[in-house]
Amino acid sequence: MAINEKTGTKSNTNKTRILVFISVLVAQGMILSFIESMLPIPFIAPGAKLGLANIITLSAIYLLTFKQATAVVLLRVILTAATFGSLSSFLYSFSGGVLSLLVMAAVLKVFKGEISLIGVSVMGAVAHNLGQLFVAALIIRNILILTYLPILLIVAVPTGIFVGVVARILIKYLERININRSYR
Amino acid sequence: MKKNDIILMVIVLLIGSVAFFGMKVVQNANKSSSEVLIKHEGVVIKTIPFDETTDETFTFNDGEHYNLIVIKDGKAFVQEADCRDQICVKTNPIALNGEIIVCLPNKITVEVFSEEKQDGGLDSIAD
Repeated sequence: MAINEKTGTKSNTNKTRILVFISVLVAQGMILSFIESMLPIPFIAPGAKLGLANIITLSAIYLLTFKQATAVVLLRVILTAATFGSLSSFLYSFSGGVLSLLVMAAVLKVFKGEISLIGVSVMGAVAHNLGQLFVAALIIRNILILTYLPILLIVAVPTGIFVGVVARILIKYLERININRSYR
Repeated sequence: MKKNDIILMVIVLLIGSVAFFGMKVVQNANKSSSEVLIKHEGVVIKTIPFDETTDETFTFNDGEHYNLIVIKDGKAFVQEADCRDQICVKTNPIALNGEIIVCLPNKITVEVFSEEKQDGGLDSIAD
């Protein structure tokens, strides 16, 4: 009885910790999306974005389980659209966010140890830009927009490096919480 | 940063550059009788045949948004728009087959469409 109570309490604490951690990541992602939407757009290709929110996606994949990371991305996308966005901005960030989540999680799983966070992040940036461009092609119903694909691939390299470097610093700090040691 | 990261980045850059220059070659192929197609959500709203001497403007206006499209000196560009990102205005003027200017917020595209050159051989025989 006492043991049951104890484990019950402990797992509730763990759940709460993870819940709080996910919430913090969602909040950070929302703020980064918001900041990005206020930045003047430096790229002249539609679909190209700095992808600041990818910093949070990458950290979530690295520190949490895939399910929890998916929750972080979906909550961030939905809440950002509900707070600052519109339907089309929701479609863009949904496709970009989910595609980069899937690609980064897959790359991290398959090439773990052979590739650093920066390489993972570059693949994430490629996926992010592709996702946005495909949705753009659907929204404006013009396949010719895919002629921007090559430029978006090239742009993804510097933005991916930037996101990877920042994520590495962020993860170093977040790891001190030890969320992935015993609570996973 | 590991060696594999560098390899990955080089591959991405390489694919991007090859595709970019390949596309330019295709767009530069010898074509004639060009026209500018202005589309809203994929539906053609205006077709303007053009050459070096064409000087025309077209304003898209659906009551909410507008784009001012100018064709001059054999090139088409968006001079003004009320969209938030202004990507369409910043895009370089287009002239080659398959080139496109996109205004995502207003769902407007301006593209150049050229048909294959068909005169020449037949005409010279007729002459």
